[in-house]
Amino acid sequence: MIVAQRKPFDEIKSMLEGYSKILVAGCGTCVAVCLAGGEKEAGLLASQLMLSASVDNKDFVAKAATVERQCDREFLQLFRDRVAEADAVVSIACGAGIQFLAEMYPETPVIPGVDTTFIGVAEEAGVWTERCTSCSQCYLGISGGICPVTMCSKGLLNGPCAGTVHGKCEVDPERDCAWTLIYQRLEQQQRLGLQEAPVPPMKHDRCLRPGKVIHTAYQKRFRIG
Amino acid sequence: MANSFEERLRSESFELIAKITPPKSANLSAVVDAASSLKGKYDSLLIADNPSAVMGISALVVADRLTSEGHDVILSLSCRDRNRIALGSTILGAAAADIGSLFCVSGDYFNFGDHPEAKPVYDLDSVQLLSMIKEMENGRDMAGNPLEDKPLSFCIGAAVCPTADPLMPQLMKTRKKIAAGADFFITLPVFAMGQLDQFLEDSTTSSTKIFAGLLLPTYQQITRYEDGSIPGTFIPKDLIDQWRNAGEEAFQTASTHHVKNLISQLKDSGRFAGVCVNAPGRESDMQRLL
Repeated sequence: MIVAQRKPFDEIKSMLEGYSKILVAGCGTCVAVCLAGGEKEAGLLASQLMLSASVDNKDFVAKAATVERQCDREFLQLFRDRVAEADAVVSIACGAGIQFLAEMYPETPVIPGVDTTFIGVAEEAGVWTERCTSCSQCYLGISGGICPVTMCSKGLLNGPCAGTVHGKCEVDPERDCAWTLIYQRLEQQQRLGLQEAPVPPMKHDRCLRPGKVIHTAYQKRFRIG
Repeated sequence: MANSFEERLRSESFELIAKITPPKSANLSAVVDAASSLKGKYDSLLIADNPSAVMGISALVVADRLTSEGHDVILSLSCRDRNRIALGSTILGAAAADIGSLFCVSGDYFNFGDHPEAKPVYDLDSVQLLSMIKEMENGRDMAGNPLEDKPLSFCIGAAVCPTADPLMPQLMKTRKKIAAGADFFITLPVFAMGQLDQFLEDSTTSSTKIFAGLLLPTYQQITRYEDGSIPGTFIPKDLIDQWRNAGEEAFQTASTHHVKNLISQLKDSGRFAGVCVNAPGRESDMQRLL
C-alpha cells in the first residue's frame, strides 16, 4: 500500500492562510490503513483547524468528508457539493489522490495535508516499511524476493557495497544490508547461481515519469497498437 | 594505451600506490607539491573521486595535471555522483588525457560526507561500470553507439573488502567484477594480516592481482574507526586500545611503525601485488613508511 505521514499542523495551517471555509478530504484506502488520511484523521484535522482558528479569533469553518478512494473519479464526484461550499480543500490522500482531486476541481485550491512517503507494508501495529520503488522492471525473481532497488540504500543490482557492517547497512546501522539478506535467502533456497552473472544496468526508459499503463484488454478501446 | 602501471601489473614487482585526495580548492599547487614529494618513492598515484562523499576538485582534472607532471596515475570513478552519460564522458576524458588506469567504485553514501542532502545517483554500480568500460574499449558506448577515432584501452581496477562481515556476499560481487573485466583489486584498508585469513583462503581472487589498502590515521581519527562506522574500515580493538593508550606523540611513531611492518608482511606473503597507502592528514608521514 501507499504510506503517508501527516504534515506538521503549522505547515498545513500556514498554507490555509486567507481561507475560511475548508474541506478536509479524507481517503478511505491506503492512507486510512496507515493512520494518516482516513475518515478519523480527516475529522481530527478539521477539529484541530477549528480549535486553532477559535484561539486566533478567526471566522473559520472546517468540515471533514471521506470517500473510498481519491484515486478514482467516480468516488471524487461524491465531493462535488462539499467542494462547492469550500474556498480551499485540504486533501489527506496520497499524492496521487491529492492531484486527482485538484484536477477534478481545478477552480478550488487543493493543498496537501500529508507527505506521501513510499509503497510499503504493515510491519507491525503502527509501523510501516518500504518495499517497492515501482521501477517498472521487477528484479525479485533473481533476488530471492528481496528488492535490491528499494531495500539497498544505493539500489545496487549486483551485490553489496564494501560498507556492510556485520550484515547492517553502511547508511543506517539499524537497517539490514539488503544484499546480505538476498544472499542468505538465495543460499537457503539453493539458488545462488542466479547471482553469478553480472546484472545489466536498469533501463530507465521503461520507467519514464509520469508512468502510464493501459491493460491489454483495453488497448482496442483506447486505439493503441 | 600501454602504461607503466599496466606493465608492472604483468610483472612480479611489488607496487607502491599512494592515494591522493583532490582538495576542496581550485588551486592545484598543494596537490602537485604533495605528489612531487612522493615521486621516486611511490610507483603510482590513486586519485580519489570525492572520497567519503566530500566534495573536492574534479579527480579527472587532478589526474590530468599529475599525468602531465610525469606521474603514473590511476583515476577513481565513483558511481555515486554521475550517471552513465557523465561516467562515459569522464572515461573519454581520461583516455584523451593519457590516463591509462581506472579504479571503479560504487561510492560511500552521502551521510559520510559534507553534502548529506544530495541526491544519490548510482545509475550504474561498480560491476556495470566495469562492463561499460570494456564496451568502450570495444569501440561502443553503453547504448551501443560507436565511438570515434581513438581506440580506448585501460587497466581497470575495482574495490574489494576482505574484512566484510559476512564475506561471502562480497565475494559473490567480486566474482562478478572479475567477469565484468576487472584487471586488479585494491582492498579497503586492512590493519593486520589476521584480517585477511578468510579472504585469502577463498579462491575468488587467486588469479587476479590484489593491492592491499593501508590507512595511516591521525590520532583524532582513531575513534571514528572504533565502532566500524566508517564504511569497510575495521581497526582491530586491541590495536585501537594500543594506539590510544600510547598517547598522541607515541602514536605517531607506533602507527607508522605498524603500517611499515604490515607492508613488509604483505610483501613477504606473496599474495599481494603491492599496497595502496592512504594517509589523510598525515601525508608528510607517507615517505617514512618505505
